[in-house]
Amino acid sequence: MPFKRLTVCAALAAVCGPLFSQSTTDNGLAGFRVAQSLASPTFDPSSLADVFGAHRLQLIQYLRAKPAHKTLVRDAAFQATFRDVLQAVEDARVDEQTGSSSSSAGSTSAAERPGISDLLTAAIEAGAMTQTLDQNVLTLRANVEGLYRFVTGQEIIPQCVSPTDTACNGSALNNLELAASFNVSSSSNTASVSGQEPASGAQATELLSVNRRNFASATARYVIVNSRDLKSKKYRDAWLAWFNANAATIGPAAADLLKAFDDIINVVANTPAKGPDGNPVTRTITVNGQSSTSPVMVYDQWLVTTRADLKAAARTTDAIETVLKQRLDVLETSMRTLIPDLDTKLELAGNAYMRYFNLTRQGYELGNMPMLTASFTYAEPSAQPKLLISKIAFAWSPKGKGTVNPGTVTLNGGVSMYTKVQPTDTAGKTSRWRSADFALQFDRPMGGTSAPAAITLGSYIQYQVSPGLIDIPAGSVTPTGNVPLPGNATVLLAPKGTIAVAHASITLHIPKSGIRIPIGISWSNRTELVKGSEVRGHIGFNIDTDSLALAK
Amino acid sequence: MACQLQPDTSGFADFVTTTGATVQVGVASASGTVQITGATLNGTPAAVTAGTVTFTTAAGRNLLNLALMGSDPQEDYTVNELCDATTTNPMANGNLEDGPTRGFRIDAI
Repeated sequence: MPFKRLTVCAALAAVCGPLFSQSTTDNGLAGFRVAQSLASPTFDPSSLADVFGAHRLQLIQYLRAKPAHKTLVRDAAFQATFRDVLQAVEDARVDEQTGSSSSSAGSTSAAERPGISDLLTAAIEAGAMTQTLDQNVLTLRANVEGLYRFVTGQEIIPQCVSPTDTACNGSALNNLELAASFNVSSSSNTASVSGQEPASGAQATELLSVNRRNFASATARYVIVNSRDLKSKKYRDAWLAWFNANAATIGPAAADLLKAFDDIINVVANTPAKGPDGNPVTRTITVNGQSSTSPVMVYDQWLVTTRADLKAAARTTDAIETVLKQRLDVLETSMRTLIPDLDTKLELAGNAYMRYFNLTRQGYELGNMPMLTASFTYAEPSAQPKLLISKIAFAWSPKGKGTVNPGTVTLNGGVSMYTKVQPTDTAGKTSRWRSADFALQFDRPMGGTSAPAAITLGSYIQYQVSPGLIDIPAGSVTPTGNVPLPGNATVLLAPKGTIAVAHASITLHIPKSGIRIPIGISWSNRTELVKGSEVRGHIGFNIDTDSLALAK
Repeated sequence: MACQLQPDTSGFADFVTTTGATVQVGVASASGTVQITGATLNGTPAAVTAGTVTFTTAAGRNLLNLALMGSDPQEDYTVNELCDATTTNPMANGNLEDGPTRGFRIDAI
């Protein structure tokens, strides 16, 4: 019963379930990402205070979320932070393959997506699409260049100081991914299969069982066309060409954005503060041995106090947010005194930001270009001879409005062969060729900019050039009657046929965590070794270090 | 050209410098694509030439604001003072996710 294998993964999902219920901070402080930042031991909470330097957008967002301004807010899109919206670009990517292929003993996609990891991904999946025995399969993937840089202590992503600098260009190894899959079922699974003994033509039935925790497959994947990688030279070149071609539009939009922000910020950053006695607050500046007295501005005074308060606060989300909110309210009071029409200016800043962001995301859409990956797999499927599988995966996304990927179509074509010549009939013919397979899949992110889910519809066809082969372990007996199988047989010929699979799934995504949980169902007209239709459930648990790095 | 900007340890400004100092500012990033798309100095537009901004400090408060754009929405960047052909003075690190603008308070005496 395939569904029994869902137990482990369902329990895993239950552990993660509460993460889905985490609500984003609704007090206007979401953009500061206090909880996420505190996860880093090197994070200095006092850095959050610099709302005129590094956190201007978060300040504007906070002020726009205040009740005093809410009636003026017309642009709901601005409610999302810049970071959240941009994170959605990564979250909405549906072209990355994290789990095993559809021909493995546990898979959650009918087609193999062409995208590869930047560093490491791990996936545990249950539910086979084509194999007769389904298992829990753990798949680990690693980008060769990223892994080499990590192991040797180099910068995983080297820096370029200019568009013409080549130091950040990835080598050919950046397009190479190595993967390994292991069967990690907690208990053995069995199935009764029938086949023909090649030498005698005698029919025999065997009770197949799988060993747990054994090697399943090793794969090398090379991305031939990798323009979706935002760090690829091809994408960067395309983006720079777009940037230069649109400079006449980008410049004025940037000027409007700066003016809108300056109209709010500069007044407070350039107005001298007064002490309790009403006199200007001053300080002494010394540069190159020369000293001079300068006024302390309203913002300067607020910033120094706020940094100290944040530094003194307990290192918890609640404590930091409480102090930050309290101090931002103090700043708001000063701003409203100095800028009587602050709400109007906030509205103008919001509109200028949206115009600038709309331009920005046009450049990001260059990343939705076709992608082509070739893969080569050595597989040891349960109770079958060892296989070599080569495959081509192609992905294409139609143009769409908005930041979120409107969907990706993936096509696969591949052939598989045995590592050794195998019998193909009872007349003594042999061949290495086993099957040709094709897959078509459509992935679409759902739920708007936060992309908390993605739907997948896929189909898979395997044309068997030769009958499937059933490996017979030494001493095997029939499942009923304990009748020994033919003594000189090493394989049985399974009934030949074409396998057709239809698959649908939904992938739940915990934003900014790198965690994805695909849950799906598939129907197949038969499996590799047994005739008769099958309906199976699929579930997985995937972790992608790319997203984890982005959630820093 | 020697580096002109000195971090203000008091925290009342980001940097201190001398009046009349010529400062050139640029951006470095992992991809090399992060660009300065616009700049203002005390609210007045400042020219962006070949991805850099050059300005002369006036006495008192100088508010430098930059608008940025890059090919990777989650890209880290460093704003540098470009002191000479081989020397840079890091002014701030940031990430494009935190927003497309960055501001600096520079007090000149």
